Formats: sequence, C-alpha cells, structure tokens
Amino acid sequence: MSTQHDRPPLLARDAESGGTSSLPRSARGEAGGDSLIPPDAEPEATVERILGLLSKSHYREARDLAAAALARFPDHERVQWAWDIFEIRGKATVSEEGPEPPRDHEFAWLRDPPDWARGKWVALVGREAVAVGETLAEVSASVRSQNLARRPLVHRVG
Amino acid sequence: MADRESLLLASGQPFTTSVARYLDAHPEIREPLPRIYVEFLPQGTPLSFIALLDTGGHYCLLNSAVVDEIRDQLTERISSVELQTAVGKLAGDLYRHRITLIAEAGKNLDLEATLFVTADWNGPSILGYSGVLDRFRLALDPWTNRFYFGPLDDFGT
Repeated sequence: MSTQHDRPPLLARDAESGGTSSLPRSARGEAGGDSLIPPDAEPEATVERILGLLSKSHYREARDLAAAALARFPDHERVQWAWDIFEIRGKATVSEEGPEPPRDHEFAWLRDPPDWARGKWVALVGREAVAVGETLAEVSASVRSQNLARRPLVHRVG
Repeated sequence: MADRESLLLASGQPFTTSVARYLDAHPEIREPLPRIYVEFLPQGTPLSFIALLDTGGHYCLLNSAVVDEIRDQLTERISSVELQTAVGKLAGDLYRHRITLIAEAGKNLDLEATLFVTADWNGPSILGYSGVLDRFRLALDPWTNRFYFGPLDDFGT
C-alpha cells in the first residue's frame, strides 16, 4: 500500500514490482537509514541538523536526513515541516487560469530592442511598451495604475 | 480530459497538461550557447518575467529587483543558506512561495517553490532543479521551442 510519501513509478518495470518510493534508500531501511540518526536523538535536534546541512547547501544529505527523521518521528510536527522542504508531490497544481496568448511579439521585441530601451525596465504587451522606467518599482507602479487587458511581460533591457 | 497540446503516456494518461513557447537566448546576455528562458509569474505582483530553466541549479533565484517587488509577500521563511553560484558564494534565506508557469495552451501551473532570496543577485532569474523543477513534469521540443509542463500525478500506484 502506498503512503503519502510514495512517488509514482518512473518506469513500467517499477510499477510491475510495486512502485518506487520518494524516500531515499537510506531512509527506507535498505541501506542503514537508522544510522543517520543516533538511537537517543531528539526530533528537534534532528531538525536543527537538517537545517544546518541545508544552510551549507548539502541538499541531498539534508533530504536523506529529513526522510530518515520522518521515518523515526512520523508524528512530530517540526519533523514533518522539515520533510516538507524536500517533498516534491502535491507542490504543483493546475490553475483555473489560462491559457494566455502566445508571447511571440514580446519575445521578438526582446531579441531586438530599440536603443531607447537600453538600461531600462520595460513592460510589454505585444510589441507595445506599456510602461518604461529606470527601476522595476516605477514600472510596477505604472502598470498597477493602468487597466490593462493583459498581464505585461517585464524585463530589464541590457 | 487531456488538452490537445498535452503529452500522453502510453496508457493515455497525460504526462504534461500545458505548453508555452520559450526563448532560447537571454536578450541582454550574449551567451555562446542557447539556453531556455520561460515566462513565470511570482505571487504578489501583476507582472510576469522570464527565468532560466537550469537543471543544474538550486531553488528559484530571483533578480534582486524582482525580490523587492514581492518582498512583502514573502512570509514562509525556511532558513538561512549559503549558495554556491557561477559568480561565487551568495548568502540569503529560503522561503516557500508560489510561482505560476504561464501556458499558451492548457492551464497555467501553480507551483509551491523554494525561493532563495538574496539582495546580491542582479543576474537573470533562475528556476533550478531542487525546490522548483523537481516538483512538476516537463518536456522540451527544441524544434518548435516549446516547453511542456504539468503536475506530478499518480498513475497506477
């Protein structure tokens, strides 16, 4: 039976063998996941270890430790919070909005911007610059003051 | 029901649900190789921007001006981090924040992303693998510069 932490199989053969899990192997007890966490470890201290690894950009180690911590302390709120940093399922949802018109005109404009736009932030709707400014804040304020039919694509022209 | 622009698995279920075109060169950076820039909308602004898809990168790294635009919407701080980038080590903070990928066929995709927030990044915004690209399905068609995307859904487990 799958749990909320299982991920769908990546290959058909995974499905035939019962699927895969998003928990790293070490955390599933297949390669000594328990060894990541001393027997007398406290959950709060383990969360601090996870954040310490993350702060040094040791992402995979932090993720493995978070998964092992979740296996050890499944009901601890902070451990669940720490695991959620790495959880990949349920983080993307189809919006009610869209589709939107293609950006062909904006992209074409950006590939060959006019000289007056150099160094400026520009808000584009189609080939029209609906707001221009030295800063993004100026452009944002201008856009917010207009009742535009379409969300502009904003870029600082180099 | 799958949109006609969806990519389908052999089972008939959608692999991706939406599609948008991408830019293959940054307008202001003369790069020797093509890259992939897609449109995205950070929560908290009516403006959308382009960002580099970077499978070798971490997190969503926003240009500092874009960070300023959404700063009062950044409420879910995770921790402080040091991030090694192509221009050296950057210090900043991780936040949970919603961004939206804009579709020109199918629906937009809302994504709970991990943002790396620093005042020291003035380069292009980047959508890295950990905390962003690992949270949805994607496919690329270099023939038409199309970027296909959709949520991670169960199929058979």
